Amino acid sequence: MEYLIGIQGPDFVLVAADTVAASSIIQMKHDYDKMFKLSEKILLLCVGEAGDTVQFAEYIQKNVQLYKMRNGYELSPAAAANFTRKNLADYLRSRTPYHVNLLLAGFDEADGPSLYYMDYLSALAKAPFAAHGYGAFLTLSILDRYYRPDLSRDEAVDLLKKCVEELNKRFILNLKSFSVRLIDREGIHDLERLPLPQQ
Amino acid sequence: MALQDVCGIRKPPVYPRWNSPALFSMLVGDTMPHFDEVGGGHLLQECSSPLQLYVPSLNGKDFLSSSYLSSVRPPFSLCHGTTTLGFVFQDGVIAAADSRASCSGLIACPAVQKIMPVHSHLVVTTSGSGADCMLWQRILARECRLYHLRNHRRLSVGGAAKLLAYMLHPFKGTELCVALTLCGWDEGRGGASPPVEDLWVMEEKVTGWGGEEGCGSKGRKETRECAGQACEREGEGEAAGEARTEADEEQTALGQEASGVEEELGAKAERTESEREEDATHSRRVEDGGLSRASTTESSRAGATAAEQEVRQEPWAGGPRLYYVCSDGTCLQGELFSVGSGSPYAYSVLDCGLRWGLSLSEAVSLAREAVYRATHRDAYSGNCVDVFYINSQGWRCREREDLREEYYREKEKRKMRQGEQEKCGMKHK
Repeated sequence: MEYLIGIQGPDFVLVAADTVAASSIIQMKHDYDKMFKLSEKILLLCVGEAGDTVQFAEYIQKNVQLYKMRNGYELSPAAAANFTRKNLADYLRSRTPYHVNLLLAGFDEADGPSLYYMDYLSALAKAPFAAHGYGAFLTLSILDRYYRPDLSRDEAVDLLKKCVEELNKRFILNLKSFSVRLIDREGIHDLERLPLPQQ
Repeated sequence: MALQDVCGIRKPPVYPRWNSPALFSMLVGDTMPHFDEVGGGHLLQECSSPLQLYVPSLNGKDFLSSSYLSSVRPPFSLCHGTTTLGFVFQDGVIAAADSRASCSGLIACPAVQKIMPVHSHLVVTTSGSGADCMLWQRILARECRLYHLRNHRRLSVGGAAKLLAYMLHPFKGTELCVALTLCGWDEGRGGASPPVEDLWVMEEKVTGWGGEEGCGSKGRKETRECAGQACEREGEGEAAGEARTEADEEQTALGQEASGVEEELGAKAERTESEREEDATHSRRVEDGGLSRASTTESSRAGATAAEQEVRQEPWAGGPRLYYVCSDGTCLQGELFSVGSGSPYAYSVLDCGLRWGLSLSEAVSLAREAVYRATHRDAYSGNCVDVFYINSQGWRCREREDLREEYYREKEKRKMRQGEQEKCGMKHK
């Protein structure tokens, strides 16, 4: 039902998420933001079971910020991703596992851009592009086909648009709009929502 | 609460000290203590929270996951038949609900109160299992009141929603079923404040407003009870300015405090939106920034003035607020929510007629119409409709209206219209 996608370029990461918050057959909210800002250059995209997403993502968010307050510097995306995975794994065999699927996107001064794919079984993989949700079945092959490591920002946005078009065409659910953000050396930038409004 | 004392549920170590705020202390690196350990009398390190009081106490032996819980079957099937709705418009918030409590195929009670006030500026519509809703409404009211007493200002609607969501989280996966819509008015942090209107001058012809003797005056009396708090005296013009500056001072004091050592203790469950604003964190800004941008680009309400937009978008400016909190963990902010088995029918009526610029009477009649249509189609909703209206002065309720009368009235109208059409048809012939 929900959809997340991330595309890593040579010096940026582009991420997008749908903006629907649904409850059984009703769309309760059309402009729901599924991205959580962990730090100035790290975004956590979180989908999954209703309450678990917000609870887990905010828990990670607050702890990453606490780390910064205590130590004076921010966690790198790799460290944040591994911290998230560790928490997910710790809860996995408890009585209250968190059923969440995550994408963590960040930019590190030393390592450059990075995109991490995590699922509810706390698997962690660094990937050049990734997607979550039923929509992923339809769009991963598009990404496989057209992705290049040296994409420019415009090309990455075009690739994202291709994926969204495919979803509009073939996906049974109506995912009307997507929030899009780009992370680079300067930080997190909001891009225009997709699909673009009709003129 | 007294009943808890009598039943001995309250254990002294678990109950919080009256002078310390409830904390969720989550230290990085520690494994988060599982809530089930509390049942045996253990606590999170130095943290005592009233919230753990309500955790289902399973003595910390080995037990399997939900199979243990599902082995205790309820004696009857719990049904969630209801229609409740809430929406925000330029004048405030409207909350409406039907009054039928059903249990499988039986109408357990035809005159239930599904909209309950939490405090003078917050009303909660309930749906789900009746007993759970009553209990959680009281728990929320208690926590809001405690916050108010400790911090000399009302908890914002968003803060109350967050608090409730965190309190409900330990029960995820159990049979608890509540879906609440919090409808209220935030007083804001000073500066931009919503226009003060004279509540008792009603130009619109709305039938059956409670007026002075009804619920509205109750709300006002409540505010006068806490006469010590300057920020309470919102209805009185002279004090209002004073109240806002006091709230400002308190806010800056809190801000300085907050940026200090208190931050070490990680996420506080009771943090209001205004406190979070002053944090080093900007997380909420990203979320709300995204949301506010969405509401400007997506909404077709071109007629909204700049002031209205500010009221709607800037969370710290105060204004009408609507939150949906569910026992499965959902906590959403929005401008229109409808909950219950009759909600699809209500949504369709509301989506046609709802706009920001509605007048009060239009909004009330729209809410009433939506509930009426839902009760007509949904078997589990029916009987009467309650409509509540919340604005900067507090909440007011409309007299309960029996929808059966409305059904017959509509039938009459249809008959008359048909009769007239036939007459016209005959004339043309």
